[in-house]
Amino acid sequence: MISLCWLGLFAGFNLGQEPEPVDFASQVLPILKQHCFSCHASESLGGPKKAKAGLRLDGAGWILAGAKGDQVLVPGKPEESSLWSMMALPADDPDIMPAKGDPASAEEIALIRQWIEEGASFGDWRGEAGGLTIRKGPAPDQPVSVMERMAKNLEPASQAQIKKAAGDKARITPVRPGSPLLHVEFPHKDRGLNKNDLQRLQSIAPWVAILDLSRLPLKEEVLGQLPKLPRLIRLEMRSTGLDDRGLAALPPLAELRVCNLFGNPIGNASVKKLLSFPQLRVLYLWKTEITEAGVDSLRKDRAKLQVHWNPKFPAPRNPASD
Amino acid sequence: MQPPSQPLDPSRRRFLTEAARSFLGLSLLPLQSWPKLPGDLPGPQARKMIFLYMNGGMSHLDTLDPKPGAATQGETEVLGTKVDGIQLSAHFQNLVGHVDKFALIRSLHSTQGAHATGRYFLHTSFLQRGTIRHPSLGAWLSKIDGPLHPNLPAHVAVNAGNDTASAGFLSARHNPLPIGDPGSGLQHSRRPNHVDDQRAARRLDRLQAMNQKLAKQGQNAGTAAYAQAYEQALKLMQSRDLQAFQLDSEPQWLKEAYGQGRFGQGCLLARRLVEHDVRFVEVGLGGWDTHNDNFDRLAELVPELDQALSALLADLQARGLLEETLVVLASEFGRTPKINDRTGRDHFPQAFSALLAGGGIRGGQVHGQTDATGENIVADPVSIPDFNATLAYGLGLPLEKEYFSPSGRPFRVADKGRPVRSLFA
Ligand code: HEC
Repeated sequence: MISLCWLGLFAGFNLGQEPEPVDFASQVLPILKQHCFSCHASESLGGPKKAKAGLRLDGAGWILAGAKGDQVLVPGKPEESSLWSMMALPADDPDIMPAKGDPASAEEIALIRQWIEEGASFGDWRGEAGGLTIRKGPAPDQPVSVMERMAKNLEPASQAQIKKAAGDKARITPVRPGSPLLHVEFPHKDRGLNKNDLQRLQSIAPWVAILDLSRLPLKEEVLGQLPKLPRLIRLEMRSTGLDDRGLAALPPLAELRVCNLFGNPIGNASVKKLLSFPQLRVLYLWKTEITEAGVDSLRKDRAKLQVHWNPKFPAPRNPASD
Repeated sequence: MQPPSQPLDPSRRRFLTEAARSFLGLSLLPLQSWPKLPGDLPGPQARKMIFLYMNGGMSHLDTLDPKPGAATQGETEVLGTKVDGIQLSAHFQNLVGHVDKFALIRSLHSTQGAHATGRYFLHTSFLQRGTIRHPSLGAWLSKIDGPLHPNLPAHVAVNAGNDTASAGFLSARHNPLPIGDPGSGLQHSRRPNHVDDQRAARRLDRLQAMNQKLAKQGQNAGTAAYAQAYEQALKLMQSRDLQAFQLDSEPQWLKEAYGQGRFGQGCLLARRLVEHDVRFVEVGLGGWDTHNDNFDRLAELVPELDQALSALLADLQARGLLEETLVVLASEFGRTPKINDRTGRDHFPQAFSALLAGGGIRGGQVHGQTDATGENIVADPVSIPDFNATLAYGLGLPLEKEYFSPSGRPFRVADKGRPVRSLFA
């Protein structure tokens, strides 16, 4: 049956034409109706009270939902699509589909394979959707973010280490409940920040993932005391008065993804320093002295970098005219 | 030559799967250029929330879930966005440009079709029964994570009726600080000129003595909470961060960008407050109860919302505040797709919509779907407790943990709701 499908494709090539793509509603659906609906469709369409294996083939959403969480269709990959592969089994295989009744013909099986290969488009067809819920996104136990990935296999810091780092100023909390990674901030803005406050973070350096220094006056001498933070993902330094020399004093930060420099007198001289953070993905530069040319050079160097520097606000609305 | 059965590379395969689902409106393909792929960015990290509460029942067809071509759509026109398959009411002229920042839930449903009970359910995940009063989400956040700012309150409500956000059975200090008119700052927080520092201190001493006496007599939790509230107010009066409540220092062009009405200015105030580490700000907008003249009234109301919400999203993002601020727009229920004979729409808790942005929400996606008329949910229904569980999950609040009311009954933050995790990057 595979050769049939190949033949079809090559025939198209030979004639110098695009092979005609398989149309779901007119070509695939009748096959499913004839061979599968008696076990894999709603009762109203001739199916059983409960669809076999929890799998329904009478709606596009249902087909994509698969059998109780098992995907049966992987667009572009017939080998991984049990929808096709279970039909294509040898006739005496106990797992062949349909489980009872006449097997599908070689042409029919080839057509389904071709349809999957072409991307399994449903065209305009939607079919049944009632009762459908689909779980999207990654499974709950899969790490979905950098934060979760970095937290893996990391022993939490001890209370003593955290206490030592906090001194009398810092508030240190897990980034999420249960995460060993830490969020460090200094809530008492009026008490300022001195060298010791940052030096103390040395005792929790492997765990700091978010450091929030916003609205604290930041000077070169102070920022220069920041230990290397190998898991620092986000650094908040909005409205701190930080200048180019201050920024240059930061240590290398291998995992820094997000850096907020809003409202600081930072200029184009800082572009090079910013590009030294290899993982930087999001940068906040509104109300800094970095010019459009500076932003362009950042973007040129890092295609994936999101730079927020020139927000678009809605135009004022005319008062209602009566 | 490559045989045609060569497997596709994984990214292409993913694309095709997503494309197939997107056609079905089950989930939508984010724009290719966005870096928000799973595992690439920090993920859920909200610790503050701005809750825009649309009081009265916001019509989903005329706002976030339009049905172009359906008889039920009425006069409200429809606009597309950069994301295939996401269309909004044409009254959202500005919001369509922010589709990369927000996600929509189009399959909310409530069990309550009356305003008061619906409002209570939306805010607390519980039905009001007997004498127990349940805490709203802002109060839970204040209780569980505590204030971020040493002097400012954790929980503020702007233009909100007094029966929406509440501490419920939690200590009164988790009640929101109510702000009536966002333009006039915090009332009664400035000391009258004739009261100098010494006199103020003396007054406070007397108050404390009185409270201590009261507390000794009854050991009354209420008294203690009030004493704390006074203390908090005094700290606030002396704090330079009181300016967080003043809009005077905002430039005129920005005030105009938010819209000069109470709601627009309330949103601007909300931004100032989260900027100063207030954890939870509710801003109310009324007028959604459009039993009559739905279309004329929404032609006024939705643009006001559009203006304020678009300015808020742009402003928060430009300041980097969207990283940790969850912005949520919701209402107690939707409105009937069927247009009544006063060209109005009536209460409709069976299916409605909400918008979420910031705090790790992956923008440009839709969760859930209604049918072609907007009357029935056909995919991924989200109950009110599920919705609150989603917000609580984003905020990092424990969903399984039980907290006990003074009468000893156990409660969980979003009752038995289950979060929609896929909304987060
Ligand atoms: C007579 C009833 C019947 C018919 C007809 C039938 N199936 Fe099935 N199908 C079953 C049963 C029963 C199972 C569960 C088998 C098992 O778990 O051992 C199943 C399982 C499957 C599975 C595996 C689901 C999983 O668990 O991953 C696929 C795929 C499938 N069927 C596809 C089809 C297709 C395609 C057709 C039509 C060509 C078809 N079936 C026709 C009864 C049927």
